[in-house]
Amino acid sequence: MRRVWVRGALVAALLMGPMSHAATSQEAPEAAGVPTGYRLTAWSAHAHGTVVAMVLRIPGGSGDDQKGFEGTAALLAQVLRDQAGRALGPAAGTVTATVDRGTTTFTLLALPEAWPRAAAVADSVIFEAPIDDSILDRHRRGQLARLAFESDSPGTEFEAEAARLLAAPGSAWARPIKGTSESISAVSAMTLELYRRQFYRRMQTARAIVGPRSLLPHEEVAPAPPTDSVREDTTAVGAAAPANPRKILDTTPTPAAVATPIREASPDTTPGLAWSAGSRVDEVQDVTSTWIRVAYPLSRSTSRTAAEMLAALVHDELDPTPPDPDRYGVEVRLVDVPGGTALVVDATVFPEAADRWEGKITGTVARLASGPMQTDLFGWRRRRFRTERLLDEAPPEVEAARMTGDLLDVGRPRDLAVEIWGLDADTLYQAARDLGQPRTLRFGPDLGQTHDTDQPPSPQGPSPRAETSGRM
Amino acid sequence: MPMNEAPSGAFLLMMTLLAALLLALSGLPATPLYGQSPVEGGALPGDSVSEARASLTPDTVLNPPSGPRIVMLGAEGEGVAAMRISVPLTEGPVEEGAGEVLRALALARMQGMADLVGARVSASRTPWGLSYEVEGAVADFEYLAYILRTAVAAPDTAASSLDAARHLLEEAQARTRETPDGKIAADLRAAVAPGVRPLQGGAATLPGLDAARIRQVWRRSHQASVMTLVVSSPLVPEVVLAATRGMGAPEAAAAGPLDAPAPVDRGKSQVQTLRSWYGEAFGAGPARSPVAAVTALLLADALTARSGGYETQVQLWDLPERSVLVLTGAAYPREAEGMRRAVSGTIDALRAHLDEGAVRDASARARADVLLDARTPGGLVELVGRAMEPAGDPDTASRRVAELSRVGLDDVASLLDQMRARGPVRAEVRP
Repeated sequence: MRRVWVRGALVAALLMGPMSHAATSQEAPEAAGVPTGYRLTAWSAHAHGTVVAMVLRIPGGSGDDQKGFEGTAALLAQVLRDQAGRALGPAAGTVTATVDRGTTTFTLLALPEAWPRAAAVADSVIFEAPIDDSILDRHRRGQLARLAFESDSPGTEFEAEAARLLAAPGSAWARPIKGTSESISAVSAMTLELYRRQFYRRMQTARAIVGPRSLLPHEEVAPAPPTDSVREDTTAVGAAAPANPRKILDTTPTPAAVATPIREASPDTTPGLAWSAGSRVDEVQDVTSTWIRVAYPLSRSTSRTAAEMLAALVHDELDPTPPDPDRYGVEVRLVDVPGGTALVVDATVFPEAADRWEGKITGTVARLASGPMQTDLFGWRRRRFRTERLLDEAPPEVEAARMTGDLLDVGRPRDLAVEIWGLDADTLYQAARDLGQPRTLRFGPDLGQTHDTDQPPSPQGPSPRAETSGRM
Repeated sequence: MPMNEAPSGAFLLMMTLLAALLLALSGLPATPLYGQSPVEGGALPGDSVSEARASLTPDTVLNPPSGPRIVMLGAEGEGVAAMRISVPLTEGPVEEGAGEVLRALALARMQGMADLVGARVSASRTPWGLSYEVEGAVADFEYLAYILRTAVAAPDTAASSLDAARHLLEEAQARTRETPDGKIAADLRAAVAPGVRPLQGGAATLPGLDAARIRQVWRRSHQASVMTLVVSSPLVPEVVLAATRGMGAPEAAAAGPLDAPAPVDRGKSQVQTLRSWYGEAFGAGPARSPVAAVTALLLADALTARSGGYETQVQLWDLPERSVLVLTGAAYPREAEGMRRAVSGTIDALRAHLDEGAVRDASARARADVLLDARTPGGLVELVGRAMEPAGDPDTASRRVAELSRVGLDDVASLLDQMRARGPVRAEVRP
């Protein structure tokens, strides 16, 4: 069928000639005024040029907070975000910041003509501006008030326990992102400055810029060769002069550095997987729902794109439309953990349904690991997954954020459409089969359930050891 | 064609050749096809958003003889395509609410089809008609067009579908009657624009919205010749043309809306509220006034600065003939008087302290809001398509960005003075 599609499109192209917008693409000017000093920068021409998104991903997060000063990374990001916003003014652009356990991300959204100046201002504030004591004080007071409000909250308790599940005992990675009342009180401008000096380095920061094609540096634009399958696919629907404008710029003299990820694997990593032994924790809490986390370590041989599709398949199986009436919410995602990546399923369910749901989660993964999907079915799921991912990344800031993650992980941004279309049923089956033993956390009331399920056993090995603790 | 499969290559080839044949027979030059829209170029003095504005300017406008009119916005890459088709609709008095029923029926069908491929769909009733939108992978373009074709096809008026759609409408009507914010908005709208009927109709017209009437309204309104399709994709126009031919109802003799008098709505509903609600509405110039948009942001800042311990809100209503600025507040009894003073005094306070810098910032924010909304293909076709609805000019969205840039201190001061001179209409709901 594909051959016919291609032929049809060729006839159309011969009849109609090139499309106007492709013919009028401007010569890309030099990226004047854009801050320099970054080792890895990825650029992408967005579908539309109404705004420019610039994302800076700094390889330092809450896991790098000093003991006794937990919350430093989060507080620093909040303060710098506000300082950048104030320096930019309300009309020039907006800056947002997020901190996770391994990285800190700043996102700038600006109008195209204003963006070089906005990028320069944001860059200088984030890396160089002195910490504003008044802004720090305001955020510290706000954070202390939030922590007081959330103290003894079961949500906070679950979050802490769920983080510990994914790391080695005592790992700094699992420290609370928001800190504690004691640690936040101890943080000063000097603490923030020391953290910034250690982790906020342009040469270690991944930067991605997504905006109008005219912003792409002229001499660097070199379309990546599409795979055969993609060439057919895009031609089939009549795309005019398909080009992949994505490009990595390496501002250091050594071209080889382009393909070198900034974030190296930690030396204590278990080869292949983030952990080799499963575990189980039952936390008894007097709450009205049960929270379940089941986490599987992904094999390092599994590509990020395959892992993302695997997560999507697990989610679709667990949370179809209409949803299971016993569930409040289901989330499936990839989490970068010390030593690798984990496929994490979080479900909030009626306590009475907790056993069934735990079995449903492990059973779903076991089914995906039991054999490759039928080709037709896989093709349909892949098509759906591709659309969902493309729609998720339609906002330029979302695409840019993902690209910075790619830069840190593999040294280059992925071409998602190409990579997704390159997946096959065997790859997904292999990804599921290569999952390691799960770590499970159950957090909820004790209804005397046995954790026996009517689902097939996990292919990832025997039942993990169980630990139970209680707090009523 | 099975719903979960891409259309066959043979189908595409046939439709493409058909489109080419139509072009040749039309006697018009091949490029531009059916006439190309004028492209407004060049930055305005002091306008720093010329490049962003260009993204809102259509590349190509096609006017095929049998419709729909196609407005194309070029896009980079092979990622996401978005389409929005708008259908003008004027309801007669006894048909009020029919558009809402058509919207609900279409959305239910679109949603089921979109879920199969992960696409996103929406349907809206606007003051000018109905719009249907779909967003998905460029590679699924044919299927996305098929979803839109289904959206504008004859409604499924089987009892179960129609009952569900009417039930949704009934709930929406009840919310207007029974919630304080709905009641305030309805009362203000009736007072400031008495000729503008509510899009959701009233309880009295609901029983008359049966299958026959719904199909009658559809047949009258959903004709391809009056539809406008806004497309964001990297595809050549011929492919779009081929994929969208034959949409809508068969051509029929022109007929207007039923002009029989509407049944009188005698139903009374009691609003239950613990707080006092108060609102003021002001006529604020012509429809889609850029000065009103900037003034709304300034009023929101001013009202927030004057508020404390209660909820306040500023809204800008785009009615068919005019813009309306609405200030509302809700407060528990102890704060009710203060809330009322804040709402009533905000325009005077803003006028007294209006300055050039604040207007410039608000103008830039209003402009940035428009461009941010348009940063995705779906947002772009929504913005351009919606802006076109009143007059059909494809450059309206682009021009609006330029107009927002030009709003200055004198414009805002003049509008505020007019609003103060004419005074507001008021509405109130007490516990």
